[in-house]
Amino acid sequence: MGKPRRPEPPPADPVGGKGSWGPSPGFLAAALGLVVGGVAMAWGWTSAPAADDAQPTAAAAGPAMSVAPMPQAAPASGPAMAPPATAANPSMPASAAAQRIWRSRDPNGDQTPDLADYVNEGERPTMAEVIDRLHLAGVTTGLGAFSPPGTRPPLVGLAVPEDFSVPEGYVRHYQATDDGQRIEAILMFSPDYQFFDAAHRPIAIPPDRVVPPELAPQGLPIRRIVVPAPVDGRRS
Amino acid sequence: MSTGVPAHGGLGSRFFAALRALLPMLALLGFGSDALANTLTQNVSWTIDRAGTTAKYRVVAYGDSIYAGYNGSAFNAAKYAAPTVDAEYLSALWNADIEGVRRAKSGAVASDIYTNKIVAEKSYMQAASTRVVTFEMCGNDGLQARSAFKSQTGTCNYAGMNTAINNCKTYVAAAMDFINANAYAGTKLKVVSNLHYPGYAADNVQSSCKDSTTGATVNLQTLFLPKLATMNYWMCEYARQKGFKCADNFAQYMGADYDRNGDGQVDSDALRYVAGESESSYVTRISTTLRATLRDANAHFVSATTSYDYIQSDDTHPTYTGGTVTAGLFGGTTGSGAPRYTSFAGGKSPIWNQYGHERMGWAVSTSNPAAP
Repeated sequence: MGKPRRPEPPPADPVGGKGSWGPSPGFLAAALGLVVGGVAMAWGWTSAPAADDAQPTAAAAGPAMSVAPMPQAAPASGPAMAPPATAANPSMPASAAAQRIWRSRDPNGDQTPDLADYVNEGERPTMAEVIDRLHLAGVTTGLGAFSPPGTRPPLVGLAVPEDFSVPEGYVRHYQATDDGQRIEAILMFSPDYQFFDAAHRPIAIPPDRVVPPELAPQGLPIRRIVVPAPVDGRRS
Repeated sequence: MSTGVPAHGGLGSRFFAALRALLPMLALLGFGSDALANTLTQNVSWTIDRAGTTAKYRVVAYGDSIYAGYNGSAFNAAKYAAPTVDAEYLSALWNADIEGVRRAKSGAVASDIYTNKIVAEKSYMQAASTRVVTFEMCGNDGLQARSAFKSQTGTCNYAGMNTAINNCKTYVAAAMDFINANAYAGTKLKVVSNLHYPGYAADNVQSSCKDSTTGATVNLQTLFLPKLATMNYWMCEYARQKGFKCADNFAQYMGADYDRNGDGQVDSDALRYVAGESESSYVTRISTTLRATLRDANAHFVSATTSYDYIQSDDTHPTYTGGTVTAGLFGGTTGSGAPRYTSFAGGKSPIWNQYGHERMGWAVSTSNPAAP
């Protein structure tokens, strides 16, 4: 096992010193020309909005900012970033023009490239699409080793009112959506309990342990929960 | 607000800016840089703004998608990821504003977290307001090794899993040494968070490859559990040796909060790393002795009749509450807000055991010093 690499100390002459190396403008222009086609080919997305594409990208000429592109401080009681239009209409955010792929880096921070360097302006890939594209490119490391959202979707079953006393052998199970919303509790069978019928024969429990209406305890109103819709945009 | 970030770049940043412009072309030319696009930077600085206070202290958290608050989006993340949950506890404990600085990269392996977040972004923990430094890593080393193993056919090759363990040990130790040497001298607490087992239930299947000795397929859960336990042991053991605290998330997530097996111990307590125990003792205890008490964290039992799903729909990342902030392809967030809770009876919020990130943040908070 090799010793972890540490960054080189910063140079004494920061920029443009005599004899320092820098990529030629011509080479950069050629590279940028290839970037547009190259990224599109690499990712295969075809939905780049014209309005966003018409604006210059910040790939190489972005401002040397050290903070996030969003507000420095939010109102004390509210989220800094939640764009209402996105929540109201995820497919066409009104604030899209202000939301640009952030390609700048903290000058004294992590300089390594990441996904942002490979996504065209105007594109809003879901993480499932990102993972799928990585796999198509043969990348199974990093985000490519993640399972996509929805691999194990929320369980849907009978609602359990908070004031309902759960009988022995049953469980009140709480879940949450990926965007942080509480899902109404459902009734499940305990994994540590065996039910028997009137003839003392074991009752088969569904593999997912979700209680079906026909096995609901007495007194439980029969109503299935509804998983809340995402509030923060398209997810699949 | 001090962010510890200089306002201008140098030759290094100019070079890397040019390099970033060239990378897609290099990918097209077949330089194999695809792998460079496999991570997502998700930095968030969120200040718990406590009413009537002026003092402000900082918690710095380095890590991958766990500390990032990854939520299956390329654009946003949980506001109350575990380090921010801890910041809320600190705000009440110290009657102060607490700036939670999360420097995170989803998908990054331990070497990447160490080199490009902890070392390259050391300035964040060098600010004079810093009082807590915490980090987590190794999860992606494990995920990648697991993914590679699952795809194996023919004779099983276990080398990838062992490499992941060795890389984890190397960079966890290096990270602690670096933080010890570079964090602000007034830092009061340093914490490493170890790993839950994502997909524990789903791994209870047989491999496609066959063991060279037995000629039979192997159960993935049986194979991976001791490997993960070894990683977790060394995170906690190095913490003991190097002046860190260990937030034992494996125990917090994987064991019930009651005595499910009747051995006289609450399951989640019995699973905890015991300071000074040997690697073999810990791994045997987790993988064999107490194995029957382990449950997938998608149903964490807080009592015999109540369970909470600690895991998102990707079967990997922790659940959370409290909304989201921009973190990802559109950059990060710097913001502030009032605490959700201003006091904590018994050191626990009302939702401390109801979401994955709340549980992890609480676990980190149990080591918080009484004063800044």
